[in-house]
Amino acid sequence: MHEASIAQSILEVVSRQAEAGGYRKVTRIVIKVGYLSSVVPESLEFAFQALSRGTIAEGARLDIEEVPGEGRCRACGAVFPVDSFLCVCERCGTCDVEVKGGDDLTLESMDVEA
Amino acid sequence: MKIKLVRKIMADNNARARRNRGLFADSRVLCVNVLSGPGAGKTAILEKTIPALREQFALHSAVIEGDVEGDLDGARLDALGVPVVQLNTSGACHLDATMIASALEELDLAGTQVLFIENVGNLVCPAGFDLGEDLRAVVLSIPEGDDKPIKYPAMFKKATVLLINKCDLAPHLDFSIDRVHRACKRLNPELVTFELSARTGEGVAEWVAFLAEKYRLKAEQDRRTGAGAGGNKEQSR
Repeated sequence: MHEASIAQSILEVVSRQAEAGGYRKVTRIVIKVGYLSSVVPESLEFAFQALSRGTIAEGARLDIEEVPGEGRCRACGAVFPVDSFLCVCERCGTCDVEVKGGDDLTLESMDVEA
Repeated sequence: MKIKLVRKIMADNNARARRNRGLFADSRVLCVNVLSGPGAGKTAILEKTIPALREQFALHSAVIEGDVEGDLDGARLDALGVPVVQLNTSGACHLDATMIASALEELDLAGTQVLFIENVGNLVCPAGFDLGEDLRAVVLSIPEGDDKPIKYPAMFKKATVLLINKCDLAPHLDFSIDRVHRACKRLNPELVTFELSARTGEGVAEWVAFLAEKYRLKAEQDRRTGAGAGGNKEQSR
């Protein structure tokens, strides 16, 4: 349950950028959340709404896009998207799959009003 | 109007972790982040590890102790006569690199070769936060069950070392060490595993020898790259 500190980080970056640009309001924020980041989008949304009250981003819509990781089969070399660290190869069916990525959290963009 | 940001949300933590890592290199300190669920025996393992490092390898330790509340663990480690900084997260479920940076301001690392960070007892959130450590040691104790790597994969995937603790209880419980090995091999084939009991001391010597070797390798590498001779500019910021 570290969604609150992640929401706080988002809020800090967005507020800093919006205030530096002289904007009045942030209306929408787009973030990408890796399936393997252990972050629960609903909790992040809840934390963000609570923390943004009284800030330049109050009422902003938080759009969360979930991003899969990349599985690479150690047996047959197949590469495919995965949503779990423990998965089965789509091609040969072994469970010897190396999982990369899918644990990033990226702040993509924000919509602002002057 | 839309403004492109494309910024890693963990960027601040990761930048701070890099600075911590530079400080450890400059101070010629091996930093070990110790993680587990509550009650797996992190503190008990440190109580056995720290004196053994000192007596057998002349390596001196310091500890940053993270807890949600209280100083019970800090007091136990303070009794070993080593520098201890107790951090209270006041509800937060993990330590982050900024908390470590603030604890480092309280800690004089001169004369310390190994710094242990005892993380908050939690198998989920601490996995996502780089603190600047050289090694990540995850403790899994026999009573917790052999399904933990499958249920908390991120923690085991990102670890360097797995310490299976309370092995003296193995004859009394249905814990399959083989099942743990199988799951860890899928998640993290490079994971180094030690089976030990902090209570009886069994298996502790192998883990301590591993740490001493890691310290030796790091000190050698830091000497080669010139860290410690003011070579790391990150520290002065």
